[in-house]
Amino acid sequence: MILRVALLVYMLLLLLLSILMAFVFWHLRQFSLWNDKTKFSIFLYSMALLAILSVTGYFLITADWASTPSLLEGFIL
Amino acid sequence: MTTANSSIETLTLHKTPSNYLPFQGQEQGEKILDIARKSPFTFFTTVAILLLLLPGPFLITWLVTFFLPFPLIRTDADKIIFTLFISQYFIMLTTAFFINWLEYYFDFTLITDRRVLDVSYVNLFSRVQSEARLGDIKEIVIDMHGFWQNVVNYGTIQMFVSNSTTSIVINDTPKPDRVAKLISEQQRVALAQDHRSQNEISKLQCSVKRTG
Repeated sequence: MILRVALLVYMLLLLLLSILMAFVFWHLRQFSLWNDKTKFSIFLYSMALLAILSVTGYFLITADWASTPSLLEGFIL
Repeated sequence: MTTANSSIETLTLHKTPSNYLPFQGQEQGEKILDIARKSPFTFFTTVAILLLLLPGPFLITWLVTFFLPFPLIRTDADKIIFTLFISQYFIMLTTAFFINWLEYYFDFTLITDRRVLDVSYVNLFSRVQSEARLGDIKEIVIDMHGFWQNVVNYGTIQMFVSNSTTSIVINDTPKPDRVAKLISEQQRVALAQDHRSQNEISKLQCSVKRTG
């Protein structure tokens, strides 16, 4: 349950970030310097995010979701 | 007139302003001579700070593990929580780097053959745009203070505009004396052109009077 809530919070933050970035890119298009360099930097940023999400995804898929967090057992619960 | 023009060409030789053309609100026949930005040195300082923050979570985990009597990550559920936390941290760091780059790249001053157009990218949601005609600039002040500004050769240029309380400020620009020279040279050319056109107008008026 706790893990699912943590994942939900994570997804929610990703969604908020996507909305923010979409707004930023829309806003930047109005600038006069919207050129290849800007597009390339957005591409690099997207690739970096993709790499982080891929590694995260790998760890999440390979983990055993049925186990209980020992940290929460010991400190919070 | 020819001397002034040739010196301006020499000054802007390293730039390729045509890549940025046209900009919004560009007048017909208006040419961009230079784009002044903050010194890359100021951006590298931010990058250095972000790079220092990079091993942050691993360092904290190591410290906590060092002081705790048992290992911090014992079950797979711990691994999931840790992964989500680290992932979030790196996404935030990457975004901070990207936003800093945007703030560096989109904070610029366009120097054209007619005016100086300053776009200050304050943050993601606010920018300030101001402009001054070259003929209206009455004073240009270069401010270089501190060790790094003098060593790396960057500083602030402040332009006071006549009949206005505000001034145009180009912050932390590299080689400020070169930019100031370009503006004053171009200002001279613009004023000479204005003077010539005024003479032409007065000649035309005279001829109109004579005809009349």
